[in-house]
Amino acid sequence: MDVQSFTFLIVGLSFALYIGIAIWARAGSTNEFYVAGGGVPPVANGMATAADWMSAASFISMAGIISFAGYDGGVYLMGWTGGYVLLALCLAPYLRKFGKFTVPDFIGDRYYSQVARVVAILCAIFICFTYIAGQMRGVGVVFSRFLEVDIETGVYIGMVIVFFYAVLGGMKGITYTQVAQYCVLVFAYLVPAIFISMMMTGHLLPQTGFGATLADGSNTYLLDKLDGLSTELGFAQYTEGSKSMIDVFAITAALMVGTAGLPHVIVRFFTVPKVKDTRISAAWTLVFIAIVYTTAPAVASFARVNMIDTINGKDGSGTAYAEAPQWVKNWERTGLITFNDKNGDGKMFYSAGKIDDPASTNEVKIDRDIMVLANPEIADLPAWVIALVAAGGIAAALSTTAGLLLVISTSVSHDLLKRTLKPDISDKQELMAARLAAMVAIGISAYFGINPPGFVASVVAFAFGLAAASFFPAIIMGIFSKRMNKEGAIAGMISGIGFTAAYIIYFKFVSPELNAPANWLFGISPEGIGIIGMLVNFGVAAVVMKLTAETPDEVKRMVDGIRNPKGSGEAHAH
Amino acid sequence: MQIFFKVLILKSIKYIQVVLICSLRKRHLVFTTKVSIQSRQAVATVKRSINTNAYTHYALNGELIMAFKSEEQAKAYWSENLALMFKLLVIWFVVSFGCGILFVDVLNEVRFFGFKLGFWFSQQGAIYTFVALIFVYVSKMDALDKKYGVDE
Repeated sequence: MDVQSFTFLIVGLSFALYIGIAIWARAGSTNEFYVAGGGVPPVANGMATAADWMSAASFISMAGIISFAGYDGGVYLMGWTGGYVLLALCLAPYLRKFGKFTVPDFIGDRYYSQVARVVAILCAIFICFTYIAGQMRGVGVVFSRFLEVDIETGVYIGMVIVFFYAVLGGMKGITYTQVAQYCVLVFAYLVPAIFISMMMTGHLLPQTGFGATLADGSNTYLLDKLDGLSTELGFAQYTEGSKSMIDVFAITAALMVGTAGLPHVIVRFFTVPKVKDTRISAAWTLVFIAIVYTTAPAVASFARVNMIDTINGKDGSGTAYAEAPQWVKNWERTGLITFNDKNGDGKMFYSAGKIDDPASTNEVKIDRDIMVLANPEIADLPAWVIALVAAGGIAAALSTTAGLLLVISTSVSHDLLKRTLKPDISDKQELMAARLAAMVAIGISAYFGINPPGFVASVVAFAFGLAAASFFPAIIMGIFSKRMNKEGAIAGMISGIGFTAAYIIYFKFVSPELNAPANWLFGISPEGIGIIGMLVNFGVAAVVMKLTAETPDEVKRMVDGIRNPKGSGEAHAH
Repeated sequence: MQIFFKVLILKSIKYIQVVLICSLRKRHLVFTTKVSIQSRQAVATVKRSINTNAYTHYALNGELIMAFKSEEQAKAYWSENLALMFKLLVIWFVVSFGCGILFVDVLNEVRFFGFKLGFWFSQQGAIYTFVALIFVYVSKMDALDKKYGVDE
């Protein structure tokens, strides 16, 4: 069988599985729709949260980014895992004990204020939309490459699948579907990585493989070879990177704090029965994420060496274009690889610099997003492995999309309608509103999937920065300070968001030409500015708190209740 | 509203009574807290029946404070919890921001198999430590819950 038929078979089987689970676990009540009735076992919840977290961006793009950025890529590895330590130690158990469905619920109740609730709702919806637009695009890219349909059809197919299990199933359906999706995606990620690690270094584990000597008899370490190649071709050393230390620090911190403040991740910890289960559930989540995230840098360095060797040839003089391997041709057709034979010798050569710049010897432009998808082809692995990677990429994109849709629909039906605009709405109407909101959200995200705004990547940084500068400080202060009052929290959130948004909009959209280290505040790029936004939030909140009225006694007792792990019961709506 | 005031008055009377009686005894503090918590709970229950504001659910959690033997116990539990959290966060900071970023150049002089050590921390070591940290936290917190009788 060829790649095409394998892809149809494996992707088809995985879809049948997801839809089957969604039908089996259809939600009957709002409680089941939002938090699966609080009855999901911790390990299953951990797996589902991991699948929810690992998006098409993690699965498809992360290893590619690291492959091109080397050490600098570590900001994503540390940032997106370290955030779970903050989440597990400082947020999740307390929010579970609080016992409501959503983050705006917590903000609104803890700060006894509808204004705070509405600010939180708006942030949650915005953060989720920025994510979801990229996800639908990811589904489209995978479909269009492997099923050889155009990208629009790919997005439409994805839409229908997401509709089925997010809108009909609710949280219960999503949780168990995501368990299945995690299994598919981790298998799809590890199989090619292990194959390649065995081929290149003889190590079974990619995690140790990329620190080992090459199996080609040269007895040099893989990373040393990579450093050598990078320097030779005019790049920064792979293990050194080129970003400034303060920027690496700020981006890592912003990603960590942003991760801990993302509403679609936090909400997952409401689905387990007890506070104790929340803690262990967070631990399992990180284990399942770490399996992929420690493999990613290995995949990145293997792919880099393989790619340079294939294009420049073993002797480093370039490979004749006529003899280029099939994968180069395949991806060239999608426009993600471009070859420009500048010196007219009919050979491809890859090095630093732009392919249209006559001063550079570089003749090949490679989009970093293809590294994971093309990796099995580059390493010449069997067709079924390539098909498996396609299924994994789709699983990653779908699971995250479903989780985000759920937060959007909950924010609209529960937070906005039930708690703010129309408190007398019935359970049934609320569920209906949630499903309607999910449908509208799918429609909008499909629109962005087909007509992507040019700035999807920039907008993702925006989402992390916003979460870091708004939710994280508000929740932390809500749990750890009884004194923090509504005036302080609202002022903090607004100034944190305002500062971060203004900085990002200025450098990304208003004056992108000024977006260079020399013009940045303290040398911090827009990707990392969320951490300064967080400090602004904390600072403003502390000052305003000193100047305004004391927190009411009921609220102080509520905080006491949150701090006591016993008696969480089921998550309540009211 | 009437019931509410009744309970309030009842509460203050009880409180004064107990303070008067207990001030003669040495264990006075324990008694006052206990009673004040009980009456607070009663107020909470009434409040819950007469108004629907957002805190009722938590005021009801007033009874959960009863899970601790006294308010000192609750305070001790919380400070042990904070101390544990703080220790683990220090390690969290050191392995990621310390070893992976701030001291990466120094550590890169050291070889760890085929890795430069700083690079290894940034792309592997920090992540393993994060996983270990959460498991340590889980087991220590379970032990702490047992110690204070708030485990489930």
